[in-house]
Amino acid sequence: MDKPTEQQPLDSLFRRKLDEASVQPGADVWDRLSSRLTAAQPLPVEKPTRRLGVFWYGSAVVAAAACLWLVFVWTSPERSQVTVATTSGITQTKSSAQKSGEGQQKEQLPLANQQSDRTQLANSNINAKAKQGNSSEQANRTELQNRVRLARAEEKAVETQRVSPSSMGNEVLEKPVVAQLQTQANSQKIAEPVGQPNPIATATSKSQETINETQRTLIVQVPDIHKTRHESVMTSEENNLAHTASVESKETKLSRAFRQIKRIKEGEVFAKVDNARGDDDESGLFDRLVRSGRAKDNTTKQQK
Amino acid sequence: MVRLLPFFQSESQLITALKRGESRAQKLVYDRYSGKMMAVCVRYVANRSDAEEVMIDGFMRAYGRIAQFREEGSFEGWLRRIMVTESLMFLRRTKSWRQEIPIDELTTEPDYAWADTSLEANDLLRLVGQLPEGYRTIFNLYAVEGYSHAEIADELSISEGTSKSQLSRARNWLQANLAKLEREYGQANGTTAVR
Repeated sequence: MDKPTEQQPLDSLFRRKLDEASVQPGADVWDRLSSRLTAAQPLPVEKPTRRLGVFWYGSAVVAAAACLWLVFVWTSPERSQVTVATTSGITQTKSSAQKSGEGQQKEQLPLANQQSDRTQLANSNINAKAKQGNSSEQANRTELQNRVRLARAEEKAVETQRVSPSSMGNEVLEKPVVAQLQTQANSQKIAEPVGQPNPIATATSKSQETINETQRTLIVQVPDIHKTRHESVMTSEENNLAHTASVESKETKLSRAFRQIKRIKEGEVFAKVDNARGDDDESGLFDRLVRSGRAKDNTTKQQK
Repeated sequence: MVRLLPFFQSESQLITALKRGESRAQKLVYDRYSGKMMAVCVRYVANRSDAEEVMIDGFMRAYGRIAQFREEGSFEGWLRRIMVTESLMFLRRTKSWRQEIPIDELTTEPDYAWADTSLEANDLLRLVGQLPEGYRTIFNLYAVEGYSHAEIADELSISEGTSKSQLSRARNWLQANLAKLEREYGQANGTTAVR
């Protein structure tokens, strides 16, 4: 602050006197001031910090809970089932069956259960889709066809695993049992006429008896699904038969080759068999050679 | 006040307590400085109740902005400046300081030595309070607070020439009234003031 250049005696007099002047305010001035202070006491700075603190603490707790949940899901043994369930409905049915406690019994009869579970899944899908109306029926059919294709591919994979010669041993011993069960289940399904009013309900196993009546009626309203299911069952059966036939043919070829090798090794037996069969049989070459050799020896002896 | 003083031995402790928002410190500051601050407000705002309101506003502002006080100057000077600013804001709201009243030319110059010894601060305050508000404001800012004409012009949004002319008129008016007081004092005591 610049000092005034012009310092007059009047100014200095008033400055000197008024600097030290004191006027006592009224008695109620402090009360008015304190009331205004108390009115302004709730500081607007503290409330936002508390709210911010609560917000940050809350968000931290939510983030921590989300992280824990992710870690739990990532490390849990059911994670594979959950992730597969997003891609395939059949595996979801598998996992749900394992969760319900059927466990090892399901594993012992996987194909039969798969058939029943698959039908359950198809029924549930049909129930869900049928509610959406006739407009989405076409889309449902294509989706179901895709699922049936997936089911076929998975079934083929499972069967080739079980029938393949590489998996010799206990699994090979189980093969006929599995095939028998499957054929029993399939024979029941194949024997049913397509045009029956409630074919899926009769074709399914005991586990399907738990389906409520509303689901059954909805299933009957969509016969095309039944056809596709039936066709899928048929094709799976044909595939099974073709697999077994190919395996049998392979086995017969191998057995024939083994027999021929055995015959070559055991020449005497082979010759005896050939003698019994006669000279016209081309399979007795060894015998013929022996006999021609003996005949030549006899002729040379006779000439001598 | 004596009861509260032991809690704050120094002014810095008092200011620290004010910064913490302690009501005890606020009361102590009010008790210590309210008289002087009221005198400042009365110099600018002649009406007493208005001056009290201005002082309350000044204290509220001081308590609210105590964190801005850097303790580089005196706390009393900082508080006084706040009171002056509040007073100017009040005058700006009322627009009364713009009034210009014609003052008669100075005829006789008063005896300043007599005024210094005989007149009290309250007498001078009363004299200043009788000044028209425009003159009073500029005289207070220039003569008592030490503002320059440029600062006064900036503060009151007037030209420096206006500030100078109004200061001159305020001085004339005060000198005339001091001379009048001197004459009245001499007549009352039966003597004439010595020049």
